[in-house]
Amino acid sequence: MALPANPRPSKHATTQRPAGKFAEEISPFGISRTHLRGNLRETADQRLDRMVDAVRFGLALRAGREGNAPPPLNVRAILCALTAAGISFVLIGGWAETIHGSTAGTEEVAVLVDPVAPDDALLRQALERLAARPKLDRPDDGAAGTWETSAGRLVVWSTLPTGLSVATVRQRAVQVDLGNCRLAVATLDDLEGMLAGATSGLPLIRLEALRELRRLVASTE
Amino acid sequence: MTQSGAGEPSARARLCRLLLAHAVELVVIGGIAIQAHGIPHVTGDLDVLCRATTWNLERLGRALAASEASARDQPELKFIYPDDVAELVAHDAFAFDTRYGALDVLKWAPNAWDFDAISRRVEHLPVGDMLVPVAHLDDLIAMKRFADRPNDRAVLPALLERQRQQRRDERRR
Repeated sequence: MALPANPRPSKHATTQRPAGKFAEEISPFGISRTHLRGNLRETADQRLDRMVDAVRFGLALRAGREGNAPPPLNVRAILCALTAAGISFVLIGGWAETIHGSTAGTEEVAVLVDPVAPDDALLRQALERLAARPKLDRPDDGAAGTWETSAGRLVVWSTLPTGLSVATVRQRAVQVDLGNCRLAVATLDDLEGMLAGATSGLPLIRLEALRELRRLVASTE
Repeated sequence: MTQSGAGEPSARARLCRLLLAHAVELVVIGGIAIQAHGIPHVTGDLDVLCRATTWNLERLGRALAASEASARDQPELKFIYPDDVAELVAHDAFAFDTRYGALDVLKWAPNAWDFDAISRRVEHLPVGDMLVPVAHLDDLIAMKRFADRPNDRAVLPALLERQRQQRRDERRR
């Protein structure tokens, strides 16, 4: 038996906070505060695993649609390979945002590496161990290089369009323990700064998710 | 929930399997559906649109209990079957956490189209030995257009570009 026609066609049309024990609170931009609060209750490890799992499911569906095998995605393997190689890198981009508790992310892993010795040589070695192949058809966004690795796509930045120096980002980075490796993750301030110019598209959603996250963090401190 | 290897099913796949095994009539929408259509719109939750009939909500209630569901940001608020089926009947949108990850449930498509209409157009995408009903790109676009929050407007150009690309590909075939 069908229930009566929906009196409120959009769940966001008349209220940002529908009633009920399991209701979801949404910001005016459209970011789920409920999910952000849920993420903040978790450890960095749990946030990473939760997002990897969701992305992996999305990739599996895409592969099913296209009739391909799903691409690899093992963010932890990439990060631990770079750490094990002794590279002084900082995790930036969507996966850094995820580790901080954001609800929006990226499929690719982005890191900031100083393009000088010894990190440049160590990076080459780590890329070899990850069976990395350079990806040449990525839009030129200023990244130093993009590789398809055995554990997923890796984008390496050596300078940032925002003018932030590698040294500054690294100095301010927070140390995060992922169980089997410990790595530097850019601060929320720096991640927001890296997206500050975003006015549209998925980067804008990531920026707004970070802003909402910061508001929630500030309100609980 | 730990990171599974490339060949292992994800926890979200297991969640989908659980819902389908309980005969819940649903369509995957939201970020994961958008990702399935080739756009890297990454979100951590599985969004599903469920047919809003009492029997379907009752089956959803059983599946939620089997997945140890609770309120997404309040783990102490457990979904209790059958008591909380009344919540599913009384309200329209829900955010759960489950042992397989976050799950958002909508009873009504943001554009208020009939579940049947959306369900007729779904693409059944294979994941392992399971076929997952995923909303058609045209319906995802319609939902985003109707919801019309800044978040929806931000992702719309990528969806429209993907739609153009799919139509070009279809014409070539």
